[in-house]
Amino acid sequence: MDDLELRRRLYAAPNEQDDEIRAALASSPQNQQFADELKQLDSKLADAMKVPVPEGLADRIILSQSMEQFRQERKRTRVHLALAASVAFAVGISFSLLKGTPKHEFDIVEHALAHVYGEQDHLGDIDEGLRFQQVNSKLAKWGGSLNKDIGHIYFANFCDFDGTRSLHLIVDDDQGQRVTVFFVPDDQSPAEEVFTDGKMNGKVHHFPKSKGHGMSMVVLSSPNANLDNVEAKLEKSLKWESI
Amino acid sequence: MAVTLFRKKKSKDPVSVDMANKQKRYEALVNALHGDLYRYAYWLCHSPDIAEDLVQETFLRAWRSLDSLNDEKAAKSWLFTILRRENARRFERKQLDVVDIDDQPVADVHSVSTEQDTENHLLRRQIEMLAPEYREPLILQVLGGFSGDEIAEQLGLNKNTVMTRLFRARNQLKEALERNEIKRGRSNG
Repeated sequence: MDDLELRRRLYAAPNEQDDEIRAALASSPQNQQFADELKQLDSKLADAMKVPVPEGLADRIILSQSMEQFRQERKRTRVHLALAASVAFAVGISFSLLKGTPKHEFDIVEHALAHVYGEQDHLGDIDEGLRFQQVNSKLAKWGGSLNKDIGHIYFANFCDFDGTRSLHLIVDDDQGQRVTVFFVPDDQSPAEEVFTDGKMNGKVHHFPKSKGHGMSMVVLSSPNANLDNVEAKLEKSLKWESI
Repeated sequence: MAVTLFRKKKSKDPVSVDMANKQKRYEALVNALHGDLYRYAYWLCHSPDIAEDLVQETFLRAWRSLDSLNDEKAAKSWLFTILRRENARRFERKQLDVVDIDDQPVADVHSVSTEQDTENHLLRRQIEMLAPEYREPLILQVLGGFSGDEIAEQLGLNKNTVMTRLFRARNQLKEALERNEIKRGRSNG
């Protein structure tokens, strides 16, 4: 190793001395002195570079880390809460939607009877004097329509049939007797059935597809009314849009 | 509320133990290396305030990815690298107006009391005046205690370049100091 190379290497790294450099230094006191000078310079440099570190810096670093962790945990808690809230919200929404779909578990005949008895007091002698066109505006909700006159209509309104929105009609049997007709959205397709409880006679009909859902129709009246006539008129007049 | 109860119940599970270990490792790391890291930051930016911010930001980043640090011996160069990137990011964020310090009347903030302090003060000024590409390897070598190979790896340079720059850095410092000696000698004499 020549002197120039030795000096270059000492300048570059005075404290990284390998065997080669140590051998070269041992053979020349002049170079040894040069190396010592550089080492001395380096220790001065090291001193100079040790600028004072602000007091309490380590504590501040640890503090800001725990603050950040705290913030993150709070954020996570908020996310959990938000998740819980959305789940609760979704469950709530789906319950109310499910309620709206015709999937009831009631016995349609029992309910029809109970409904009629329950409302006898205030529907007993109501007469709104409606025609079939006014019923159509309500039936359209389920894609149904009456295409022919079915005679005098005393009453037509939506009602709550155990949570299912249904249409409640009271029509005339052409002989002055009142016949109640329920249209109930119903996917359970009950069997066509004739029923009586002694005071009321009735029939259940089912239309499989009206706007994608099943539709049950219950016709009932006191035994002295002409149920068959009303049924025949409805049968001729009713049309369901099957979508 | 439910979440809090849930957490309390699980306070002894492996995840919490891991977290406690991580916290311990982290605090050990901060205590052992914050001084070197602060000084390195200071020599990169020449401002005590910015240096402290850089160190804070560096340790926060280190906390987030502490799990990726497997070799404790590599911790120092790992942290130095994070800090250097953090410093570079500072310039990406906003281009500061840089003025030549020699053109500006600057208040002397370093207190000069003893002879040792005077010498340190002079040396600091000389180090500050080195070109950054010479200064940085020198800081890493003298302050960080890294070898030529390690510096080359950290700065993404080849070793010969690093050695040349170190040589030039010391050469310039030595010359500057000798000039100063002569000047001081003259003015005193």
